[in-house]
Amino acid sequence: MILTLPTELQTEILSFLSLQDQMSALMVCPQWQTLLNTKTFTKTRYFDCPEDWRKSSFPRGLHRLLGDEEYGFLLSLVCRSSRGARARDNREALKYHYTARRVDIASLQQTDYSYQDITECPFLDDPLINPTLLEEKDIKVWMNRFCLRIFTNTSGEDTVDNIKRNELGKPLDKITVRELINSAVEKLTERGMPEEKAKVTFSYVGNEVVVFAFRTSTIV
Amino acid sequence: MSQITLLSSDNVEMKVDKEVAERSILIKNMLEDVGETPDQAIPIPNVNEGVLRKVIEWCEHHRNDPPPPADEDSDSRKKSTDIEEWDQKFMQVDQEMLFEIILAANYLDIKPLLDVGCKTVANMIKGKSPEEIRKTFNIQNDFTPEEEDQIRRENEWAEDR
Repeated sequence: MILTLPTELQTEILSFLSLQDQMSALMVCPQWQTLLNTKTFTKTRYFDCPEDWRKSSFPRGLHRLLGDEEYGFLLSLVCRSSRGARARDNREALKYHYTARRVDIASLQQTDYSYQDITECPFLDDPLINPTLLEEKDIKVWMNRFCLRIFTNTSGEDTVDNIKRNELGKPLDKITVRELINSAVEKLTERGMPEEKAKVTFSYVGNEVVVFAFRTSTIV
Repeated sequence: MSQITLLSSDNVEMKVDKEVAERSILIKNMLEDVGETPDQAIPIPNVNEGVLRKVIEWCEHHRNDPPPPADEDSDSRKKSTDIEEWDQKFMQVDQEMLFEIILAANYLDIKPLLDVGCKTVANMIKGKSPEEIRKTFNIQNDFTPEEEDQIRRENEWAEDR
């Protein structure tokens, strides 16, 4: 029985899982939830490229929830007006998201659309960057690269917004993933997305976080 | 080729080549401490006959493998769950045996076998939903409905697929 194995062996097994699989494992039982929140695992949730990471688009020490190395997107906030079924909108939003990333939609597998709501996932409460992995100069590089991009589609028009780091409520090295997302939502509200009309879910798609902000009614 | 005798927890003796038995760091260190090849059987108190045979079978197949690289800090590295074909076949056993092999590999200190075992279990978890994982390993859902509700939201999208 897997739960009767010594804790260190269960840890060993879970350490072979991807972040996405760890999020499923987290919900299996309280025992694994506790295990996955120990230091051994928090460390694995951050990018740590020992080779020349400055050349990669992904800064070292960044939380893995926030994107992939290939495209360099940190966080995408996809906003669509929701006409028709919610589920269809999800897919639409995703298509839009992938288009923005210049991914050929036809090449996407059904599983690329698989969608897991991680709004309550404790991983979101991790710090955005792991300071223990970084030196001061690394943090500087990190900050200089930071850009939060928000896609919105209101009245059928697509816009891309960039949020600068000084527009966030807290310095980047003090903010949690959830706080980052919340500030993005706040900015979005400031830019004309009525809060009471927006429903926000954090989702995990492929290997990056997509924040869906849905209008619950059509645009006035 | 010198041989040694291992004694399983259920008192079954097994002769193995010393080189094969030395895939186990525990046994290797033990033999080094003793100095000479012992005449008496080495007791392996935590491992029964069936499991010990299985472990020896693995060690026989991997007797010429290069020693695993020195313990590096692999915690933050992305770990591959690739398993070579022979090992995959070797691990096609029931769950009880699989966990017994993992325990034995851990006790006997055979890191590559431990890795194969853990990867095999990890692959059984991969791509599954929490409920599917519980089913696979026969894990009771110990979350209260409130806790459950708090950490899991219904997948609205999936219903539409």
